[in-house]
Amino acid sequence: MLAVVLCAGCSRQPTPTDSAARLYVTSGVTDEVLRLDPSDGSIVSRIPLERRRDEVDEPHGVAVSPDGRHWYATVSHGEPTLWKFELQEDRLVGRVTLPTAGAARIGITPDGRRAFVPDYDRARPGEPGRVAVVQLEDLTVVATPVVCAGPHHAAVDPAGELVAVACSLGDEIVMLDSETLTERARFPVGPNPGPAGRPNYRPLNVAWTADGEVLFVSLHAAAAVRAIRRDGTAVGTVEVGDRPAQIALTRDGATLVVANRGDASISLVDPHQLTERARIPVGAAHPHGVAIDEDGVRAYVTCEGTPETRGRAVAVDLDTERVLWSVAAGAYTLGVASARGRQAGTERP
Amino acid sequence: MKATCRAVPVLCAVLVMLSAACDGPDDGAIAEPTVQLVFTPTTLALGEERVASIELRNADDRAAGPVEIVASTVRDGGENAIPGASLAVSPSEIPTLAAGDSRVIALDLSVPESVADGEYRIDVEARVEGRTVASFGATFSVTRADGPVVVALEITGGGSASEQGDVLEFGATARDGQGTVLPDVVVAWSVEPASAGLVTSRGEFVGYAIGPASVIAHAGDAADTVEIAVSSRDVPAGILEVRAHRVVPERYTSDHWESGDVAFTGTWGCRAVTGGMCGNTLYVWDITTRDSPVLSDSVLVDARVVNDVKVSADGAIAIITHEASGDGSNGITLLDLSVPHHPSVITRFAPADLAPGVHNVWIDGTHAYLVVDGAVPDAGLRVIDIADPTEPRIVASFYGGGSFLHDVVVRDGLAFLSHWTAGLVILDVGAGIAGGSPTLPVEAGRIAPAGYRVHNAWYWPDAGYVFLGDEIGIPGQVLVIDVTDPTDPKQVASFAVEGAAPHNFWIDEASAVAYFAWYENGVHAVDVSGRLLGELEKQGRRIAHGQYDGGGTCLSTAGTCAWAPQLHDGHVYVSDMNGGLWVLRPNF
Repeated sequence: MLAVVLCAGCSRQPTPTDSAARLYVTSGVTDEVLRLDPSDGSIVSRIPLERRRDEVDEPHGVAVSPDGRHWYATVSHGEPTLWKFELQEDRLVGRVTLPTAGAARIGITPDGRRAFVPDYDRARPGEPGRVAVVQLEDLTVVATPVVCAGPHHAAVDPAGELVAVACSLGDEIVMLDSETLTERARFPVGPNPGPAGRPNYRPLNVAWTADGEVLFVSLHAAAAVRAIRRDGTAVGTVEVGDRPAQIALTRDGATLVVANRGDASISLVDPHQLTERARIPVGAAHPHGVAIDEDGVRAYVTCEGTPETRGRAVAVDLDTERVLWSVAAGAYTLGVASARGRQAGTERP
Repeated sequence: MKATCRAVPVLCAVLVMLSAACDGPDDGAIAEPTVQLVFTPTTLALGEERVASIELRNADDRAAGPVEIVASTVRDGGENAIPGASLAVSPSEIPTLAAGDSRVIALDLSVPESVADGEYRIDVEARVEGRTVASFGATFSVTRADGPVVVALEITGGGSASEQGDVLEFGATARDGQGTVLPDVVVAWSVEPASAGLVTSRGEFVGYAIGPASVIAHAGDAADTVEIAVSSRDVPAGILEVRAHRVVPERYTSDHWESGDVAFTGTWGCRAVTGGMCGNTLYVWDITTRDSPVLSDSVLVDARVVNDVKVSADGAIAIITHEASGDGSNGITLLDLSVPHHPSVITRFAPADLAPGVHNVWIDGTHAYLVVDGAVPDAGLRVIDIADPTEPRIVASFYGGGSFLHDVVVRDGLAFLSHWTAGLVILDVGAGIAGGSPTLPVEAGRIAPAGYRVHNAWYWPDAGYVFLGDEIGIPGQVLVIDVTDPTDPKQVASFAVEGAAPHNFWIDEASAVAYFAWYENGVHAVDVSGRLLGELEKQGRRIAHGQYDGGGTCLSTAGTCAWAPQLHDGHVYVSDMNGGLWVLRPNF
C-alpha cells in the first residue's frame, strides 16, 4: 500500500525553482531531454522531443544560450531538427527542421545570435557533410555550407569570429568565418591523416581556450587529445583513455575533462603541460558528453549505456577526483549541458 | 525535497528508489500553457479562386512554436469528404513566432476534375504541441464552364437501388432545342440529402446512409433526377476473438512476420520498467499450434531498435533491421532459417552506407530493399543483392527527395515507397513500365496528398489499389489510392477512425478484408470489396474491431497499442508495442 501511495507521486515531479541550477541530458532512444538536479542527479522533469510518435528520433546535442535564457537540443533522426526552449520553465518555443542529413552538437556564438549544427553524416564516409547555420531568434536556417567528412562538432571561439569544425571522417579541422561562413583555414589534426572516409584520428569534438588561441581536439581513434593553435600549428598531444569523445575546459583553464567512451572513464588533463593528471573510472558504459559547472569544481558526464544497459549521468568532483553521484538517466544518453538557472526578468552578466 | 529528506530519511530513500523506478517516458511535468494566436481573417470565401493567403499573428506576450498549420479534409454541404481534394498550406510549420509577430500563410487548393459542382468547406487550424490554438474556415465553389444551351437532360445508367458503398455509374444525355444530343456538355451532379452519399463530377454515386437518395444532374437550366434506394451493406457484425497472448514484458514489441510454423517478433526502443531492456532482440515463436505460441528461441544483436523483420517467400532466410547500435554501425542481420525455430546468423551486414540505421526491409526474390534513415540523398532506399546471403552487396539506391523514406513494399516489379511528406513514390523495379530494374530503380509515379505523412503502404494488384497510412495525424486516416495506372496514381477513398492513428496493415485479398492496426484503438477489420470510393467508414463496411487489451497508452506497461496485423492460416497475429504477441481469430 505504501508503495502504491508513493508511486502515485511518481508522476508529479518537484516544481523547479527559477534560480535552481540545472543539468540537461539527451536520451537518444526515449526521445526526451531529462532535466536533472545537479546536486544529486535526481530527475526533475522529462521533456519530450518527440518529432514522430513511436519512432526513435534520437536527441543528440544540448546547449544553453550564453545569456541563459534558452536552451537548445538537436534531434538527429527522421527529420533532423533544432529545438528551442525557454530555460526558466523549460517551455518549448520553437523548432526548425534542418535540411541536412542529421544533427549532432550545437555551437552557439557568444552573442547568442547563431548556432552551428553539424550533420555528422556517416552514410557517405568519403564525402563532405554540412553544417547548418541557424539564426536563433527566429530559427531561420541561414545556410548549410558543405564543410568536410562527418562533421560532428562546430565550436565557436570565445571572440565569436571563428568556428572550428571537427571532421570526424576526414581527420581535419575546418575553420569557418562565423559571419561570412567562408572557409578561413583547413588543417589536419595529426601528422598522418587518413583519407576522407578512412580516418586515422577521427576528431570528434573541440574545446577552445578562453583566449581563443588554442583549441583542443579529441581524437576518437587515437586515444588522444591534440592541442592546436588557431593557425593550425600543433602544440602537442596528450594520451587519454580509449575512444575520447566530448571534452570541456574549466573556466579557469586549469583542467581539461575528457570523456573516454571506450574505457568507461574520464581523463583530467593539464592543458598547459599536456599531461593526463588523472583517469577516473565512472562506472558506466560509453562516457560521451561532458559539461562543467560554472564554478569549475564539477564535471557532469553522460554515459550512453549499451543495448543491454541504460544510460547514466555521473558527477565528478574535479578536486577530489571522486564520483559524487551516478544515476540512471535515459537510454543512449549523449548530450549534456549545465545551466545555473536564472531569476525571472534578470540578465546574466 | 531536501528538508523532507532530513526529516524522514528512510521515507526519502524509498521515494528515491521509487522515483528511479518511474524512469518512464510518460511522466513529463512540463507546463504547457496555451498561447493566443489569431488568424486574420477568420473566414474566407474563395469562390472560384484556388489560391489565397491569410495571416497568423501571435497575440500573446510570449513566444510560441513550433506552430503547425493543419488543413482539414475538404467537405461538401453534407459533411462528406471529397476524395483527392486538398488544401496545401505554406509554411506548414512556423518554427517560432515571437510575441506580436505574424506570418503570412499561403493557401493553395487542389480540386480534382472529379469534384462535382457545388460549395465546399475546409478548416485550417494552428496547433502548438498538438493543441489547436487558432482556426479559420474557408469556403470555395466549383462551377463548370457554361457550354451550349441545354434544353433537356436525361440521366442514364446507374440504377435505382444499391447497397451502402456500392458505386453506381450514371451518365447524362443533354439535348438542344432540336433534340440533338450535345456531346461535350459539362454536367453538374449533386445528391440530396447531401449526407446520403457522394457523387463525383463523372456521375459516380456511392451511398452512405440507408434510405432514399436523389441523384441530380444539372446542365444550364435543364435537370434530371433519379431516386435511389440505398440499403444496408449487410456486412455481418463479426468479432476478433482473442485466442492467445504472449507477453514480452521486458521490451517493447515492434514488427513481426509469420512463416510456416514460426512467428518472429522484433523489439523497439528501451522499455522504462524495472528490468526493462532495449530493442536488441528478435523473438522466435513456435506456432505449430496456431493459437498457442511458444517461445522457442531469440536472436540478440547489437542494436536498440529491431524495427522490422521479414522472411523470404521460400522461408529460407529472414532479415532483421537494426538502429542505434552500441558500436555505431547499423544495418541488417541475415538469418538462416534451415531450422526455422532456431535461426542462425548468416551475417551482420553493416557497411558505412547503412550507418544511420535501417528502419524497414522488404525481400523480393534475390533482392532486399532497405530503408535507410535520413532525409538526404545518401539516405533513402538501398537495394541489396542477397543471392548469396553470406555476401550481401548494395546494388542500387534511390532517394525521392523532400522528406525521409519510412517504408517499402515490392510486388510485381513495382516498389511502393512510403516517403513521408514526399508522398507515395512508385518505382519500376522490373514491371516494365519505366525501364527500371532492381539494380536501376526508375520512378514511375507519385502522389503526395497535402498534409499527409505516408508511413506505410499495402499494394493490392488485383484491385489496383494501394492503402496508405499516416501514423501521426489525428483523427487517423487510411487513404486508398487507385494505381491502375501506376504513372498516375489517384486518391479515391479513405477510412477514418477518431482518437488514434493507424499503423501497419494486412489485407486478406482473397476475402477483400483489410486489417488495419490502429495503435491504441486496436485492430479494425474492414470490408474492402468492390470499387472503393469516398469515406469507407460511412458505408457500413466495418466488420469487426478488436481492442483486445482495453484502452491505454502506447509505450506503457499495458493496454492496447497495435503495431501490425498479419493474417496467417486463419489467425490474425498482432504485434503490440506494450503487450507482445496476440493471436486473434476472425469470427465472421
